[in-house]
Amino acid sequence: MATVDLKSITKVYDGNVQAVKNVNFTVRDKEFVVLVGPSGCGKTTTLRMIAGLEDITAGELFIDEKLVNDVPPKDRDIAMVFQNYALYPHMTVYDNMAFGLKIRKFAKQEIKSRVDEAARILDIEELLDRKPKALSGGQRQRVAVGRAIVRQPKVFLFDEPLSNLDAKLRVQMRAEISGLHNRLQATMIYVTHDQVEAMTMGDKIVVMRDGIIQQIGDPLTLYNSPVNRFVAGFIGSPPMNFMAVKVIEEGGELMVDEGNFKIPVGGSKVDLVRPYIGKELIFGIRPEDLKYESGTIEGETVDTTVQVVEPLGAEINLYVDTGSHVMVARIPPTITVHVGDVIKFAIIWERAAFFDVESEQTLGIGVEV
Amino acid sequence: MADNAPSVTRTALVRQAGTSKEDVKRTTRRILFGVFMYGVLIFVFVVSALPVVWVIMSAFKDNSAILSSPFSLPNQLNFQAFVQVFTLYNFQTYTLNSLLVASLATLLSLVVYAMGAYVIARFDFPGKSLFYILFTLTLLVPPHTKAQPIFSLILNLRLYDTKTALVVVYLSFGMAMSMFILRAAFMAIPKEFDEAAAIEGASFVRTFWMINLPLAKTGLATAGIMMFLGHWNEYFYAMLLTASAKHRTLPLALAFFTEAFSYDYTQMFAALTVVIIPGIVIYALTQEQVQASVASSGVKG
Repeated sequence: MATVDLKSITKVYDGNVQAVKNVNFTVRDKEFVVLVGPSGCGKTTTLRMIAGLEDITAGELFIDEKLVNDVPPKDRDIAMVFQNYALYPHMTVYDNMAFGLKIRKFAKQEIKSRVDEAARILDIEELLDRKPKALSGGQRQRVAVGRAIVRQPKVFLFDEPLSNLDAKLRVQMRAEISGLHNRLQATMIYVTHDQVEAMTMGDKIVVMRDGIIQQIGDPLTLYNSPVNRFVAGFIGSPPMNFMAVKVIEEGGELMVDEGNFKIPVGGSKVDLVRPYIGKELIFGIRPEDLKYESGTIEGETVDTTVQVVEPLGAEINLYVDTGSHVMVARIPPTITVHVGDVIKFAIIWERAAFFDVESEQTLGIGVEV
Repeated sequence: MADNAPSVTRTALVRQAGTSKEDVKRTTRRILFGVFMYGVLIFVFVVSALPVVWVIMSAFKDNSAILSSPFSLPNQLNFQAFVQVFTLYNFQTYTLNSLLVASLATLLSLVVYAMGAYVIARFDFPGKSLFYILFTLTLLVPPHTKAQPIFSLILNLRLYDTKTALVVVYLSFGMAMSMFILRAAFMAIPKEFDEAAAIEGASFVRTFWMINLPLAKTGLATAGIMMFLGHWNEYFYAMLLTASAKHRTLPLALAFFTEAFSYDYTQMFAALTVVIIPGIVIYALTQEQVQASVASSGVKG
């Protein structure tokens, strides 16, 4: 198995469109790395450069410590699973899976044993004689993965492989691909726009936006310590609530003033926002870090009006109006709330975040402004 | 609720009455449209297919029956005229010549045009549009205007009065149309197949041959059939470039045949049938693919 190293990789298309800007990251041996970001962020272009399907405008790409910028795809020892599977419609499942091995002139017996083994792992032994047309979406997905694993490549590349499946199947295949990674102990790079996929599958996540890497880290680091407002908002569902606030000092107490409410800052955040007295900041709080308060702790809670109630079974998502912002809060299912109710939320300050208005960087993490 | 009930019923009744009136209107319109549609279909059939049916029918009747009651059905299935056409007038040679020339020219040009269309459909290179426009421009040149240069060329190549001459000349026929159909066929194939093949290790030639060519089979069938029929029926260059009976193709043979034996209508119609039938059979066999391809090339071309 292998490592993949991207050093200052840049992609410029005709007409000076910069799709990928100075991307640097390393995929360690046997690691499952997810590239995630909204559409047009350059994640697929990055993957296609690793595959050799796109030329690299500038920078160096190493696979297994070998510079491969000018090595054609077939000599990079990689396999790729495409978004639309790209199964050859005129070949049977067996022939689709055996295609690469036949080209590489493997012995017939070896081809058969590898295809059979892959089919067994993916539970598609029954389908080997069928044409792709006669398969369901999930089965096609498996065949596409099977075609990749029979080659036993150094690196597996996945380009949004689950985006054509329905929600239920997606959850199932997500677990299967993770299982496959554990089983094969292979280096995998996976592109998706779905942050849930990224969080559940990746050992390491690379968050991209407008061709630039925003943050690299394991799922919980990204969730708990996002370096900027974009990552904070992109990772997590429902997303983090943001609101512009002014830091003020009243009676020796540090407070944030949202316009409609003022609330004293608590915990370690006091020292963090002290330099910003009189200035504006973006305040961020995740839905689960808004604590529902049934009692009345005057001055330390935010009064809100319930607009929408979304009972999900294990939890309830509430869309609540502070007067100037709509926030999402996540509360336990045991609490009964109706639309129009006025309810109070306390803030778990240790979990709150502040972002600089200009740079949108998180205060206290990464590049501080 | 009870107060509203009568008014609801009344509205429903009015609506029902309106509906039945509209129904009658709609039915009349549908019938009129049906009559018009069948009228057009029958007209097209009468002008295009009936003469062919009449020719085939007449090949089974004797001369006097053809002259006295031209539209009657044949009394018996008499293949004698066909036997005579083949035994007395050397038609097997002409048929073989036609088959050989038309098939060879079609196959060779399909291979060449498919390669050209694939490159134009898949890759960007300087002058691509110019090439494509030049190919298309050949449509605007009437084939007969090229007679003199082609004749001189064939003469200088010492190919005059050979079947090779016909194959070579026919190769260029149908280029614009075939390129158009094949380009559309290749463009309809997702690029991911090429990319997947590239990653699997397939060379350019293998990707073309094993992935794209089989997937473009409707386009290939269409272009092939159209070219084959064109070559099969071609008369002008066959006359211009061959002299001996040894290299004569069917349309040419037919011309000589009608000149020499125009009084024997049965044989003439039998000979005509021999020329007509293969085209019809081939088209009938591949009709579905041809139609699918013509329809899709219309959208994507």
